Amino acid sequence: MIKQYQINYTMKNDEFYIGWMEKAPQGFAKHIKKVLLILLVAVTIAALLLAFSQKQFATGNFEFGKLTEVKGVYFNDPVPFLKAVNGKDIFGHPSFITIPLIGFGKTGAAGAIAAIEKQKNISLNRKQVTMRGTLLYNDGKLLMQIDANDPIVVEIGADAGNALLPVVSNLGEQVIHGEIVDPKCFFGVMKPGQGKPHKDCAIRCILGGIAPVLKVTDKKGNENYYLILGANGEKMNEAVKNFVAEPVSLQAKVVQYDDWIILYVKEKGIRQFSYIQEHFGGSIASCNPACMK
Amino acid sequence: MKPLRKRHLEIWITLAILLPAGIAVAWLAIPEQPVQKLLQPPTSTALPVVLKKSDKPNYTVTIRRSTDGSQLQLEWINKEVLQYPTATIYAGTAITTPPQAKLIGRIEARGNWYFPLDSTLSATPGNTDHFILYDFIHQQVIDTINFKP
Amino acid sequence: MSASYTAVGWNRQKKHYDWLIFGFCILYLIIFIGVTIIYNPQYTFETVLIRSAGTLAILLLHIILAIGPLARINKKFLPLLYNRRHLGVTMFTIALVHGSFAILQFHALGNTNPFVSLFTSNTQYNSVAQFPFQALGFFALVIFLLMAATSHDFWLHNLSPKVWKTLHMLVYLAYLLIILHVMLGVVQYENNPVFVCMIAAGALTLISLHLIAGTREVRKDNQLFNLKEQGYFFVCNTSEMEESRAKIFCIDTERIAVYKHGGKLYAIHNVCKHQGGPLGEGKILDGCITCPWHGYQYLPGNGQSPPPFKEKVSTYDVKVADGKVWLNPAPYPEGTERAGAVI
Repeated sequence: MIKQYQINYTMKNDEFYIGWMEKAPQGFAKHIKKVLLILLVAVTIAALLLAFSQKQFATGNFEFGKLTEVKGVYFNDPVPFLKAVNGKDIFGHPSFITIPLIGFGKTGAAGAIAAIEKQKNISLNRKQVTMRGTLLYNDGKLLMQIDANDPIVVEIGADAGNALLPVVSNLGEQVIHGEIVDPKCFFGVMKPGQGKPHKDCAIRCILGGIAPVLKVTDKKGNENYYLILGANGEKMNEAVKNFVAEPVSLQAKVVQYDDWIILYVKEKGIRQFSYIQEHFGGSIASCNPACMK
Repeated sequence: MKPLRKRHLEIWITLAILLPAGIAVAWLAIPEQPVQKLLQPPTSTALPVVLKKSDKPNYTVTIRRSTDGSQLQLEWINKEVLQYPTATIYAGTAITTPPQAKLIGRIEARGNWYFPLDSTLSATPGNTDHFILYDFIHQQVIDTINFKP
Repeated sequence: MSASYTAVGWNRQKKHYDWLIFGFCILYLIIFIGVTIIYNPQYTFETVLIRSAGTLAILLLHIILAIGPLARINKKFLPLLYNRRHLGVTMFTIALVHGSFAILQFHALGNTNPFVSLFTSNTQYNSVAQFPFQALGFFALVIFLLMAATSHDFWLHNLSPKVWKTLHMLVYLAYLLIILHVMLGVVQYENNPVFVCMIAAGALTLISLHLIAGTREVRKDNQLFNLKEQGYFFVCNTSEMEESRAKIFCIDTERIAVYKHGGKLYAIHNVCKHQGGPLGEGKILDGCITCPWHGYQYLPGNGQSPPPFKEKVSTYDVKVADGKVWLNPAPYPEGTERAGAVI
């Protein structure tokens, strides 16, 4: 019987393939070898094409696993932040950086701050503090993650008084176009921390208490980042849910708040960006600081 | 098996319509990204006279002066995205502790930054020859800028 | 075919097949991850893992879906068909890595259960560009899970072939969901035309292969047999019959395989009891009609598998007169002994 198989298998046009036989007939084997070679080339090309076609990942650093102590003044409003001071410049003006605080995972810092205040029975607002947390930064913006599991507060000092109160100036009402991101992922924790693939995570972070930020881009590709609050300074976390990670237009009062810009968004002032309306519809009110003056 | 073959054919005729339609609709739906005039760095005018210039891969640093010589300015063009927690500019060759430290200012996002310089800086020769870029959070020097004499 | 079930019936072909699957997957991952690390140095590990696993799974899915029609068009692709389910389970495993990490990355450590967050974070089902693409991927993964979990012959028999086949045909729905998952997901951000071109090329290839194979089969099915006498249809001349091989005829609703063996003609139902393979495209080996897909065997005289195997197919009456072959499409109960028609 076995001899008969071998005779049959050498007749090319009478070849028959069965998987459980030791070896495939020659004609089948030759064909499959050619197919595998083609597949090898195809898989290689696919891998190269897909890998090279990806956008360049953004810069952005999350100092995962590294805690840094930062000394400054803590403020609760408009969002929890630390104002870290670095002496005075040659004209006597204080040099500082505003560091918004965020919590662990996809949560804001409010919970961690409340826990410290409860534990130490003290309000931290406007106090000089030294805090320990994980830094994340990109493109001139710095944030710090405070984790309730780590010892956040190293030292609480005296009230900072009025010396370091933020300098606020009104830049007028404007319509600003950009993309709403969550600053934690965007400034270092995830790449990409923007766009459709990241949309769900951004929503989860913002709903968890992380303040939404509007990322704006000019035609050269340079970016700015503006905090988003409601018209009266209220949190906008819920209100922006259906506008995250897509092109939007915000009608807002623009305020320079130290080194951050805050958008106090008018009621119903968020809408999807419409290319057609922007370029062909003249009814959008747009005003820059020069016109306000 | 004929119903199975028929079902296969029906499924693939349906997919022959749905797949290209789905791909096309999704591709056409990709939204246009808006372009927006930036508010930072705040708009400032560069002083007309260039005294010194240093070109580096990540930034271009220029010392400028007004025509009448009364004003001195540091122009810092940030060409690449900053990858440090902070980046502050000091005049001099070393970071000295306040109040002697000649802190000029802090740079942030990409763009053109302008810092007025104290006229006393130019009074002493060499005072505007060296600058240091310093991260005060991690307390480390990022870079030094030396203008050729 | 076996009286009891083993997890995998290993043989040399399957081992080669599996090593090749493993080798190709490793090659793809090395190239994709390596290129990303070198040319995109600001990468994060999680994103590279999610993307490499996701793209590999889609590539495998296209290969898997191409095997079926290719094997119908050219029987030399049958070795790829033989162990296709191992490819399928591999694809599911890699897709599971992608899906699990994506759910962890995008939904864990928030204020909601990750699986609840998957469906409640983005709820813009009324938008195309903002459509919750992750839900599409999730449902596709569920289909692949059900298919992988029931990929063993144990389930084929216990769920009944009809239910099993219906479940496994959900792969086509899963394919549509995956294409939309990619187009409404990553392609909305990574809008390099290369991605949409590859997706379109893949879809076009699979559509073409299936329609080509399908129309060929339909042509065979629609072949009319008009000459009828006392319940028998004239199907072909005896000179067209080849020893140990069959010709397949589709009369009314079913295909019948007519085999020539030892100077006689035998007719059995064309559909193999195992996974519906075309018995008429097989060959008689060792006195048994052998299915070309997985080698299941049946005796030509009665349509029964040789002992100790239990599978049976229907048999039909065939007669020869004046060099012409006549076939009666009325089936006998499965396993009924019928005398062959002497040529």
